[in-house]
Amino acid sequence: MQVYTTDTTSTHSARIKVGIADYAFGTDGNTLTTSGLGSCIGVALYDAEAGVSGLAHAMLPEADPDGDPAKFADTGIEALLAEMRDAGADTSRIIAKLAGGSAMFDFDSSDGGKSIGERNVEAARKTLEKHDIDIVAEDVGGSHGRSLELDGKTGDLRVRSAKTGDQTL
Amino acid sequence: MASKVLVVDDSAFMRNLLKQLLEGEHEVVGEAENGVEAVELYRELEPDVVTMDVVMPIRNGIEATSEIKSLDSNASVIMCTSVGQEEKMREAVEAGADGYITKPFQKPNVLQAIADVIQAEA
Amino acid sequence: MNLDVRSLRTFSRLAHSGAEKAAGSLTTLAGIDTYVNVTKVELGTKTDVEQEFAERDLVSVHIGFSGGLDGRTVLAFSPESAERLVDALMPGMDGAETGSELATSSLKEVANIMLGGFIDGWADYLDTTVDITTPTYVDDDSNSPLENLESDGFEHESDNEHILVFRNQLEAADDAIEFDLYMVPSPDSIKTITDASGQHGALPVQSFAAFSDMIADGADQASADITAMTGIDTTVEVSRMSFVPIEGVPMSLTDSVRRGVVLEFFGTPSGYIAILFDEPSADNIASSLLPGMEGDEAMRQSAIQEIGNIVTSGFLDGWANTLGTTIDISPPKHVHDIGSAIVDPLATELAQSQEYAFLIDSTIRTDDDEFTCDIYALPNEEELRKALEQLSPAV
Repeated sequence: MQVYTTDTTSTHSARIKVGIADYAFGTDGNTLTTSGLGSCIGVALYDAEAGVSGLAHAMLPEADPDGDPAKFADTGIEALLAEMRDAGADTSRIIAKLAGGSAMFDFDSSDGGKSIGERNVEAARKTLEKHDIDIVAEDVGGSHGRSLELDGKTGDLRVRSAKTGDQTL
Repeated sequence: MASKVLVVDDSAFMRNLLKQLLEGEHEVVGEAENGVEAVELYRELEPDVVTMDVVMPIRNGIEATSEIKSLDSNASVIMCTSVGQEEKMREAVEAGADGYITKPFQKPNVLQAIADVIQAEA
Repeated sequence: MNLDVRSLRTFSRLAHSGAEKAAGSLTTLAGIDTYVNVTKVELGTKTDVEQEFAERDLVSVHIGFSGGLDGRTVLAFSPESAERLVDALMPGMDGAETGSELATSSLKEVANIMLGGFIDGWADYLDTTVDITTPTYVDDDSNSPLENLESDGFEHESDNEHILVFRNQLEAADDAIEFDLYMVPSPDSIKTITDASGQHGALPVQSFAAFSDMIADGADQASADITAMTGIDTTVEVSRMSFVPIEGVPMSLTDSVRRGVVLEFFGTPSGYIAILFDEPSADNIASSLLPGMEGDEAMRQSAIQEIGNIVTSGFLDGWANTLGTTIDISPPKHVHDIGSAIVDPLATELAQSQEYAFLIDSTIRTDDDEFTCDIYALPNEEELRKALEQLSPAV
C-alpha cells in the first residue's frame, strides 16, 4: 500500500510573521513582520541581489547550550544566516538593520550594569561583526516598545512605536 | 486515461473538493456519505477507483474497504484521511487498501495515487 | 492526578508541535498562512472553562478521541472568523453561504484535518493508537468543550474539580481569522502522559488546585478593592493559571496599546506583575477617580499608579497569607505602550533562568463595560514550585 503525505511547511506567502524567539526568511519579496519588541532585539538582514530577506527576534544575548537557538541573539542570527545562505544569499552582500533592545524597566538584574536590552544589542553587533556584516541603520535602546516590518522587495525596515511614531530605516 | 471514481466521505465539503480536483482528469461517477452507501454504490456503479474516508458515521472506511475487497478482490481503494498514525495504516493494509493519502492533500498526490493504483491493476 | 513541571513541559511541547502541524494543515488546505500564537496548558475548574465559553459567542466543532488517550478536542471560532475561513476555503462559491450545509461541512472538515493531525502527535509520542470521532458542529454557546464529557471517561465529582486544558491560540490571514484549538484529556489520560514523561517529584494536583483557588481569591479581592476605590461595581470575569513557554508569554497579548503599571514583587515567590487597561478603560477609570481633573495628565498617571498598587496588593496578599510567607512589592512604574512589548521585558528577565512560565491572568470588568482591567502575574517558576510544595498536604 502506497502512502502519500503532504509537506505542510510554506515559505512563499506575501506576509510572513516572525514570533518571539523566532526567525524567518523570504525569497519572493515577502514582507516579514514581528512585534512586541521590548528588551528583545530585532535583526533584519537583506541581500538585495539575491532577493533574500530575513528577520530574527531574539530574547536573550548569548546562547545556552540546551536552549532553542532562536531565543538567543548570537545563535539566532547565525541560524538565520545559514538558512538565507542555503536560499542563495551571500554573506558578503548582506546588510543588517537593528531595532529594539529597550530598557523599559529598571530591574535588579541590571543592577547598575547593563540591561538585557543593551546586552542584546551588543550581542547582535558582535555576531554580525563576526560575519563581516555591516549594520547600515538602527533604532535601538530607549524605553519604548516597537513593531517591525521588513519589506523584502526593497530592504526597507518600518519601525512602529506607539510612543515615538513610525519611521523607516 | 480517465478512470471512473467513487468518492466516499461524510463531508460535503470534501466530496466537493475532490470533485473539483478530479475535474478534467477523471470521472466522478458517484458519491457516498458513509461505509454502507459506499458498498451499495460500489455494487451498482462498479467504479475503477474508490477514494475512501476513514472516519464516517454508520460504517467506517476500514470496514467498508474490507467489504468491497471481499466483493471484488480487484477493487482499487485509496484511503483519504486526516489520521496518519502507523497503526491506522496497518489496519488499512489489512483491510486491503491499495493506497493511503493523508489530509490535507494536494492535487498531485491524489492524481499520482490514482495513477499508481490503476497501473498496479494493469 | 499528580503533576510536575517536567510533565507540564512535555504537555506543552506536544501541544505546541501538534498545533504547528494543525496550522500547517490549514495553510495547505485554505492557502492562507496560519500561525500558532501561543500554546498554553491551563489549569482550572470545569466551571472556569464553561464560563469562558459561555462569555464568548462562539462557533465550534467538537471531535472526541479514545483509545490510548481519551478526551475531546474543540476548534472554536468567533462567527466572523468562521465566515472568513469558509470564504477562504470556497471563495465565491454558490451554496456556501453562512449556515449552509456546505459551509458547516467545510468547518467540520477543517476541524477533522487539524485535530486529526494534532492527535497523531500525541499517539506517536505514546506509541499507541488514538481514534477520533466524526465531528460535531455546534453554534450554540451553551455547549462548552466539556458538554457531556462524562461519557468519555470523565468522572467529575463536582464542577470545582480541576482539569487540564490545552489551549492553542492560532491566527490566519493576517489576524483576520483567529481561533482556539482546545484539547481536554481525561484524568486517566493525564496520568498516562505523565507516566510516559517520567514522573519527578510530582506534586499532587491538589497543590495546583489550592493555588488556583488562591488566585481566584486574590482576583476577588482586587475586584473588591477597585469597586471600593471607584464606586463602580466590578466582577472577576476570568482568573486562570497556565503553563506557557516563556516566549509565549508576550504573545498572549496583542499589539494594541495598553496603559497601566508594572511592578516587581519579592518574597516567596518573587516575580513581576502587570496591571493593564486598554486606553478607553484607562481614561474611564482615571475619570472615576478624579472627577473634573481628567485634563491633568500627571494626576491621571498618579491615579493609575495608585490603582495598580492597590490591585497588586489585593491580588498578592492572599498568596502570602496562604503560603505563610511575605511578599513585598516595588513602587509601581507607569506604562503606556503596546501590550506585548510591555510584557516582553518581564518575560525576558525570567527567561534568564526558566524556559517555561506559570502565567496567572485575571480580567476584572465592570457590568456596563466602563472599564476592563487585565492582571498578568509572572511568578518565578522555581520559587513558585517550592511554594506549592509547602502547600501540599503532608504525606
